[in-house]
Amino acid sequence: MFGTHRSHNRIRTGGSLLLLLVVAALLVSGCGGNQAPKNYRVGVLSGLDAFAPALDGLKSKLTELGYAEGKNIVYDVQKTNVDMDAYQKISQKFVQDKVDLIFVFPTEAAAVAKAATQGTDVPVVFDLSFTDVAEIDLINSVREPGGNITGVRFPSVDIASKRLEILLEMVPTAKRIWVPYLKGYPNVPGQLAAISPIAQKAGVMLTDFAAASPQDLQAELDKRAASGDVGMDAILLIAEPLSITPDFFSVLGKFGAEHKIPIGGAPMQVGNYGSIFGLLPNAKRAGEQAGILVDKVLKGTRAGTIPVVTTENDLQVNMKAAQAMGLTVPEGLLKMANDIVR
Amino acid sequence: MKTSTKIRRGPRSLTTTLAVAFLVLSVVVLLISSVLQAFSSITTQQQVIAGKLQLIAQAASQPVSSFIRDKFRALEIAAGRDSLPAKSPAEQKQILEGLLGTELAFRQLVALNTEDQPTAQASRLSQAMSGQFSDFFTDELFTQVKQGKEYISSVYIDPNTSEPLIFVAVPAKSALGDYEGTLAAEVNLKFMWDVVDQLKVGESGLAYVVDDQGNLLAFGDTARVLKGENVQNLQEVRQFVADPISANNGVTGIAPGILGTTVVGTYAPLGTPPWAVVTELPWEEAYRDVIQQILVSIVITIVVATLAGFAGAYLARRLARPLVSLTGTATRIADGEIELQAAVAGTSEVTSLATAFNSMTAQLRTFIGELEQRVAARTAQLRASAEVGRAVTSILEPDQLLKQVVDLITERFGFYYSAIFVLDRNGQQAVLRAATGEAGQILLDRSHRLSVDEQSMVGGAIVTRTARIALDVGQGAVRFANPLLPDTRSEIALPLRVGDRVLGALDVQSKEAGAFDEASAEVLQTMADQIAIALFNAETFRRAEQHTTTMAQLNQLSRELATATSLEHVALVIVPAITNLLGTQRLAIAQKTANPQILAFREFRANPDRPVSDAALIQSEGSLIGECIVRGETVYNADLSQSIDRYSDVADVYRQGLRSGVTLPLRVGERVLGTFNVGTDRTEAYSPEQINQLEQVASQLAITIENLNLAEQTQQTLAELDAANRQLIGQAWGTYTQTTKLETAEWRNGIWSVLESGTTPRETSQALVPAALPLSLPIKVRGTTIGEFNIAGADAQQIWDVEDMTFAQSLVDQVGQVLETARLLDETQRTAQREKAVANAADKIHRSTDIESVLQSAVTEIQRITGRRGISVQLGFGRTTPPGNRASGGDTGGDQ
Repeated sequence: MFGTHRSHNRIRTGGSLLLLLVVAALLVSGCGGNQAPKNYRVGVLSGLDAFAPALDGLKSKLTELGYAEGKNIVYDVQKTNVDMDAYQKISQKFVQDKVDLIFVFPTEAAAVAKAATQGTDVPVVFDLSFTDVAEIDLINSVREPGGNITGVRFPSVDIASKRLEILLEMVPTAKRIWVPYLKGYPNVPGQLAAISPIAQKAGVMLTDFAAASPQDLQAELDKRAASGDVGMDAILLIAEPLSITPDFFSVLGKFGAEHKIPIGGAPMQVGNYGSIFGLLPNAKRAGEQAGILVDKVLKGTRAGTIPVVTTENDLQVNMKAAQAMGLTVPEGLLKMANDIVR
Repeated sequence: MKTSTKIRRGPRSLTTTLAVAFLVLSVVVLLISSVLQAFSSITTQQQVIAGKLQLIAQAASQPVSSFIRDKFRALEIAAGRDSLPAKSPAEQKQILEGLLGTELAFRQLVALNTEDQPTAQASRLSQAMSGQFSDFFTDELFTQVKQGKEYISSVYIDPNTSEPLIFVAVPAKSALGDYEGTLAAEVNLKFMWDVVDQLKVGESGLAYVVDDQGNLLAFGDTARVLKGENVQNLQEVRQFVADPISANNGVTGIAPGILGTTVVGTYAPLGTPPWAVVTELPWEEAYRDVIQQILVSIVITIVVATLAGFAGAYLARRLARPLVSLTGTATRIADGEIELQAAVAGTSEVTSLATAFNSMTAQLRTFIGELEQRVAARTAQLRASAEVGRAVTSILEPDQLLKQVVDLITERFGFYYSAIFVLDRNGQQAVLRAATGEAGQILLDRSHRLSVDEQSMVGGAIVTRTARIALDVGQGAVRFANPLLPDTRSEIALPLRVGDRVLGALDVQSKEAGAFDEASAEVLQTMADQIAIALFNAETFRRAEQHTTTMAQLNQLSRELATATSLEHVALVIVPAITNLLGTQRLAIAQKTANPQILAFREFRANPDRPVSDAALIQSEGSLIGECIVRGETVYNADLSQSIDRYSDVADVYRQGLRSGVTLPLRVGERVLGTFNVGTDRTEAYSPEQINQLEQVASQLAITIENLNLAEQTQQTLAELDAANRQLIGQAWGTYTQTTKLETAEWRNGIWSVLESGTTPRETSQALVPAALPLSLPIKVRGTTIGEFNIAGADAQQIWDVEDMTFAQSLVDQVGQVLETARLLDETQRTAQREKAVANAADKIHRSTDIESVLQSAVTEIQRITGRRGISVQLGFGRTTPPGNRASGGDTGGDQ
């Protein structure tokens, strides 16, 4: 103990002398000059309308961190919706414009932006993207993403599994579950592979369908309706664009309502049609999380060295839609839900 | 090239020094005081800051601690709610899901029965991703829980998200408090980040949470947390890791913080879990009050130092004023105002200093006065010395030089008497050479001289080579009494030294007692040295001049002797030359005669009519001349009286009045021809140098006499050769005229005619006949008359004048030469004809191949050449008749 006190005293004495020296040095040399603030130019590739609030979250966080739009930061916002060609053009434009950073979502747009910035100094911060899809090599690892990219992820495989589990909990009678998805979307196979054992374990038959357009989807559903047995007890929306695209969902919602087929997985409401529950990250919050990363990158940290952040999923329960389907929502889910639509 | 000039500053003034000292002292004291005060203030402030930061840290730790505490509380509530273990699994699951909905930090929940088996669980993740709880169900967990304690695991990282997690558990108890199961939960600590991020530490400080390993658990920069960064390198964290339990009672010093900036930090351990909340405050903010205090202190120090400087300057000027005045007086005295007195005023120390200063200046004035007098005297001496020096270097005649010197010394120095003594040739006596005044003249007339010994001051100075001083003052004074110099009261004798030699002495006398001291002796000795050098140079110059003159005379004598043709000529040359060299001398030579015992003695005289006396014959033996010839060496008799009993010739010349003489051998090579004798009526009349000169004369004289002897012999030989030549030429012409019959031929009127047998040409003894008819002119060849021309004119009365006769004789002389040439040519041709005939004969003889034909050819050729008959040849020598008498062939010419 004495030793500790002596040590503390020595530290205090040394600190006092050091402080004196520092004060003297400051008096002699002054406190340094001011640097002219840099005006940052951020390219925003908003590639999915459902995630558009992420940009609000980003701006909000950056404003909180001292960035003032129009003064020291400019957002070049380019919006599109699940359009790979547009992703490509917008990304190349940002590269040509030599923006200071590209903020991009969702996963496919992030992959295009990463490819477009290869060999340049333009960093990429993605948001609401999958990093566990083998077909999309977005990062090396969560802790060390590598290259000049980092961002906010959410696990597609796990979210699909959890959505199935919740669907089964809300619709315990469902033994045939139809899983539609956007044709050719890369992360779908992984999700299907993940949910298949769960369905099997629960004694549920999964039927997936790839639709390239709402018309495809309508045709399939019309075909099923025309057959007399739609072949499904519930519709599971996995984490892919179709499930959160209004054109697609309106087809599904109408079908579900007509045939009393509950739809769950993504938090969708188009007209009078709504899903019974949704499990999805909060886009605005994810944008705020990305804002912290953008700030670090703009201040000079190489993006590839900044660990990827994982966002949390929000559970939304649509009591109204569930009741319309004649379903009783378990009390536990209601307590666990972040949002209940009544 | 750059050159630097170093400027040397002068000494600083007393006022400035005092003012600076006062200022420096004030500033130093103020600085020390300020530093100590600042140090004390900082120390105090550190305590304050420590407490403040500790409070901040503890305050910051509350939310963190509450975060964990809330989680436990939530679990406890859920576990105790309606006795969770007593519920059905579905109910338990519902409760757990409800808990997930209320507590975002819970990622998974599980309920276990008393057998530690899961009865219900709920998760935010799918079942596939939720993992196995069994890994966390350790004995430690159940032990603690069953003891009614809470359990909290170490922090672990989710491999999928890199987020920090912990596992916590609480016992589920019955209403009576009995253990009925366990409720455990996995807690995502990232929800603590917002709590930490919202912590406010001062104005710009920050906080972060670390575990007992130094791992970063929560921080505003979540990326660093996600990286799993360990910040044990930071001072605060290191202290916490070293002692995770004790609270940090003190603030650590200034150190780098988590952002790399300089901060003041502290930490607050949470206890459970074993984490700490570390708070950092930028040092500028933490010590803002201290810095302001230091700045104020510095400003105060500067102001006070300025005031102290002015005060110091005022006081310094007041204190230094008397000293400045004294300094000014000293400066003026140093500039020459030595009569100035320093003002005696001011403090006691200053008045004492001024009094002492005045006393010192008085002594200084006295000293300077004495010194000036001595300098003046010494200057005068040096000036006189310089004048003497100039004089002695401008005079080359020794006597004039010495006279000038003594006069200058007496006049310029004001002495009573000066004299210079010079050592004689033997160095035994000092001879007076120059002196001043009547006394000096009298002494010079007396040829005054002193023995070189300690009996006189002059002799003593020469012997000891040092100055001798006699003073009429004090005990032990030496007094040199001279009745001619009665007023002398002091005297100094100085040696005249040149290198190791002493030439004499300078004697100076004064009417004043004690006129000479060491300094004046030094000046006079310097002057004496100059005199000695000048005297030496003058003597040397004189000797060199004499030597040059002598050498010129000797050279002239040599040249004249070389051209002398007779002994009389020699005498006429040598007598005046020797007289010039040595003064009037008696000169003579002695030459060997045919009789080795007899010498021919001849005296050289100045009489041009009879410069050489008749030879007087003297005996070689018993004479000095004979001994000189035998020894071949020069003999010098400085006093002939010493040798008159020994040598007869010496006795003779001594009787004639000679007192000293030199006998020099006349040597030519190894031969001694005789002697050259020089004498005078004075004893010791010849110096070695003069003897050397005489030897040179004798050498040249010997050569001259040898030449004269050789010339005489040559004349004799030539006369003999001429006589023999004449005889040979006469014989040759006699033979030739007989052979050619010319002895009887006469050419008259263009016709040669042979005279009667027995008629001989008329002998003509006279070369020219007086003008009488006919004229006869001898024909001569090399002085030998071989014939004569008889010229008889047509007119018997014709008179021959001298010119005609001279012309005729010249022509006849030419005829003689031509005749001789013609004779020689004729004889040569004859000889050549004979040689040719012999050669032809020999050639013919050589062509013969047998003896008979050889002999025949030989006889034939001999007859043809000689015109003789009766030649015979006899071979073999066995006959009695000698071969030369054997005649053969006779007139037959062919009977061999």
